[in-house]
Amino acid sequence: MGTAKGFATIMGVAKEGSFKTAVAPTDKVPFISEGIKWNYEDKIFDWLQGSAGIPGMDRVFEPSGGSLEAEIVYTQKTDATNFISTGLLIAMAMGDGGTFTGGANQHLLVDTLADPFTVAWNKQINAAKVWEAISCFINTMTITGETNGSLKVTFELIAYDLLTDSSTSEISDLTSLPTTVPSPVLFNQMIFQIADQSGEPGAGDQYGLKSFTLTLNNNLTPPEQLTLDATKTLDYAHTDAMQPIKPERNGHREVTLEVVLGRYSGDDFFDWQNNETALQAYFLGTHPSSSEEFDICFPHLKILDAPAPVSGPEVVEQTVTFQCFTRNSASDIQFSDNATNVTSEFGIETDDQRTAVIYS
Amino acid sequence: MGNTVGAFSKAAFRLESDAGMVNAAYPTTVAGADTEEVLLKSSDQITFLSESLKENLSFEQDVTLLGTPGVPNTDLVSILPAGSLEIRGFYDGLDALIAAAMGFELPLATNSPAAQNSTALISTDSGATSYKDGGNPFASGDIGKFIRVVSGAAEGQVRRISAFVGAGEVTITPAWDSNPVNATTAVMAQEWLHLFELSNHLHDELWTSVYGSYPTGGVGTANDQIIRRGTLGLLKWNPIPQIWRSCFINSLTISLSAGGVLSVTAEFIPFDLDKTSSTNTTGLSNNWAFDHASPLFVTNEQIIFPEISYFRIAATGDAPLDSGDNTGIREFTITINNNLKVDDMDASSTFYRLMPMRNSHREITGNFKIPRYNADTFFDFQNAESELIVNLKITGSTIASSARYINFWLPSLKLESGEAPVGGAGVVPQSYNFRCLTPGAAVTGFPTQNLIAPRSELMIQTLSQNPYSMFRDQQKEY
Repeated sequence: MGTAKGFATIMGVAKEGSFKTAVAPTDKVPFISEGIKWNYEDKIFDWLQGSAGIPGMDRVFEPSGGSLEAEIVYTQKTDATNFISTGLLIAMAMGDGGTFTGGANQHLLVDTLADPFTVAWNKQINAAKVWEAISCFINTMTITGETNGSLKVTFELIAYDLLTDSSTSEISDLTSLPTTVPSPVLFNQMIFQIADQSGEPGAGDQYGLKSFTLTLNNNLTPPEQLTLDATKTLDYAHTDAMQPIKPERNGHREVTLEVVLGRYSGDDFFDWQNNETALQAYFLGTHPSSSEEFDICFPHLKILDAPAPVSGPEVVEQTVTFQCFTRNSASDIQFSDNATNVTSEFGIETDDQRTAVIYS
Repeated sequence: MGNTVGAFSKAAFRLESDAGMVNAAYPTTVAGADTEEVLLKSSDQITFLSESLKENLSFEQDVTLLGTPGVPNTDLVSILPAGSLEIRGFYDGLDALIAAAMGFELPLATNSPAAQNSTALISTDSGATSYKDGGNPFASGDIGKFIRVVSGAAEGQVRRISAFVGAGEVTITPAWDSNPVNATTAVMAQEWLHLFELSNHLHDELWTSVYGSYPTGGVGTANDQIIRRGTLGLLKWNPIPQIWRSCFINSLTISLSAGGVLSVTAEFIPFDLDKTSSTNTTGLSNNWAFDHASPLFVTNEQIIFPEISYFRIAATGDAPLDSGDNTGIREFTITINNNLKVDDMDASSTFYRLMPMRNSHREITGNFKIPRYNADTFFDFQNAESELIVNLKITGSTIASSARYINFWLPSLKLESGEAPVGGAGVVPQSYNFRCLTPGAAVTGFPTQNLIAPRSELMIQTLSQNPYSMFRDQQKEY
C-alpha cells in the first residue's frame, strides 16, 4: 500500500461500447490535475421528533464527476491503438470521433453526445486496481492559451459511477500506455487570423494575442435520479437508482471565445462590434519541426464585448469576447483540405501520429 | 481621551444573570438589560484576537411624497446587534463560550466539574467566611484552591481559600450565602474537569425542565433557570469598556491546523450595547483575568497543534477507541450551528429582538484533512455510509498534578463527502466533511452522557483551573 503522489499518477481514457460498462484505457492523458469525486446527496432525518439534534441520515443519490485539466499535445502513439493524447477527450466533448482526411483528423460539434468514456488513473493505493470513472460525459470544455505557455484544456465531467477499486482497468493497463514524450502545443506556435466574411482570412488578417479562452458548454442535464427503468423511458436498463441516468443535452450548446490583444492599436474590433459584423477565424498551431498541427476553425462569430480600458500607466490591452455560431452561407472557413466546410461553431483539425479516426 | 489600539484591547465574557437564577429574564428594555448584566472580573477574560460586533441599527426614511425630492426625516426602527469574535484557544478561558454554545453542564455539585486530585472535606459548623474541618486536612499551600460544597443546605457553593488559619480551618472569600453546617461535605481542589453537552434548548428555562435531578436541597431551588446567555465586555479605548448584554452564541467554530494554535470563532447575538455601563464601569476592565483571583493559578497556555495527543476514528462497532485507531490529521474543524431565530420582534420588545430560540435543528458539522492518501479507509466509510466515532484530545502541561486538556467526543457521525484529488505533482491529500448525529446508545469508552433524550452528538471536556459549574452561578467574587 503506497502513498498517493501526483507525479506518479498515470491517467488513461477509452471510449466505451455501452453505457455503464467500463473499458480499459487506450489513450494516456497528459493531465495536470483532477478533481473527480463523489458528490453524494444525503437525506437528513430532520422531521420533528422532540429533539434539537439530528438522529440520522441516509444516502439518497451518488452522482460523481469533476474537473480534469490536461496539456494539449501533438498526439504520439506506440501502435495503432495506444496513444498519448488529449484528442479522445476533445472528441468526446465535441461528440465527433472525427473524419480522417488527408492525414488529419477533423472534428465538428454534433448534436448528440452518444458515446461515454472511461477514465482510469492510479493513485498508488491499491496493488492492482485503480481509480475509475465510468461512463463519463463532458459538460464543458475550456481550451486556453497564453504567452510563455502551452495550450491547456479543462473538462468538467459527469460520471455514472466512481470507484477506487476499478471494475475493469488495472495498473498494468496504465503502465502499458505509451511512454513516448509528446510535444505540447505551445502558444507561440499559434497564429490567429480573423476577418469579416468577404474572403477567407489569411496572413494579412493576423492579430497578435496575449491569450485566448475557448469555452464549449454542452448544457447537459445535471445528474438526475430515476427509479429503475426496464428500457421503458430510457434506451438502456437503469438498474441502480443511486446512480444518475445518462445525461442528455438540456439546451443549446454555447460556444464563446475570448482573446486578449497585446496592444490596442486599432479600432477593427470596435468597428466590427458596432456594425455587428459576421466574422470568421482560424487559430492555427504548427509544430516548427514536425509540422504536426492543431487547428481550431471558426466559421461564424460576432463580437459581444471588446473593451480596451486605460487601467493604469501601462500599455492598453484589448479583450474581445465573441459568440460563436454555426456556419452561415457567407463563411469561407474550411479544414485544411480546402474542401470540407466547418459547419459547427468551431471545428478542430489535428495532424499528428494518428492514422485513422479517433473513434467511429 | 485615548485612541483605540488593538494591542491594548481585551475581552471578557460571563454567563448571566445579575438578577439571579430565579428572577433572570431576557431583557425587553435597556433597563432590563442593565438588570441582567453581570460584573466581569477575574474568571472571565477571553483570549480574543478580533471582533466584528455591530449594533445594526436600522432606519426607515420618511419617503412620503411631499413635493420635494429631499428626504426630511428618518426614524430608528430596530436594533439587532450581531457579530463575531475570533478567539485564540487557551486551556483556561473557553469554558463560558463552550457552555453558552452547547447549553448544558451537569449541575450536580457532587461531581461537576469533577475535582481532580482533590481532598474530601467534612465540615464542622463553619462561619460566614470560614470552612472548618475536624479532620485537619488543610495546609498553607491550599491558599488559592477552591472548596465546593456537595451536600446539605450549602450544596452548590464554590469559594476560594484566601487564608490559612490552621490545619482545621481556612478563610474563604466571599462569604457563604449559606454557611456549611456540621457534617456538610465538600471537596477541595485546584484542577477541574468539565463536561459540556448539547442541550435541546438555549433559551432561558427552568433547570428542572432540562435535568430532572437538578439539586434543590442546597442553594439551588426548583425555580432556578438555566441561562445560556452572557455579558460580553470589550475594552476598546481605555478606560471605558463596551458591554454587550445578554449575548447568545448562535454558532461556534473550533479549528486547529498543523503548525497552528486552536482558534475559535463565535457568532454572538447580543440584546444591546451599553457604552456607559453602570455595572462594568470605568477601569474595572483592569480586573478582567483568567486566574479566578487565585494565587495558585498556573500560567495559561495556548492550545497548539503539536499537543494533539491523538485523533482517533473508527466505526461505531469497533468501540472503544484505542491507539490502534490513531489517525494522523493535519487539520480539524468542527462547527456548532444552533440555528437560532434572531430577528423576531414584537410590540413588547420595541427596538430589540425577542429572546433568540432555536429555529431549526442544530447542526454539528466539520472537516478533517489527512496529508497523505495511502488507504481507502475513509472512502470505504463514506461509500458504505458507516456510522463512525471520533475522539480528539489535546493535552498541555501539568497544572499541579494533572495535565490540562481539551477533549472532543463525537459519538456518532457520518462522512458526507470526501476527496483525494491529484492537484499536481505533489503528494495527494485527503479531505472529509462529516455530520454529527445524535447517537442511539451510549458508546463504550466515551464519557457518561447526562442528557440522554436525546444524547448529545458532541461532548467537550476541558480540564482546567476553572472551578465553577458554568450554569450554577457559583462565581460570587463580584
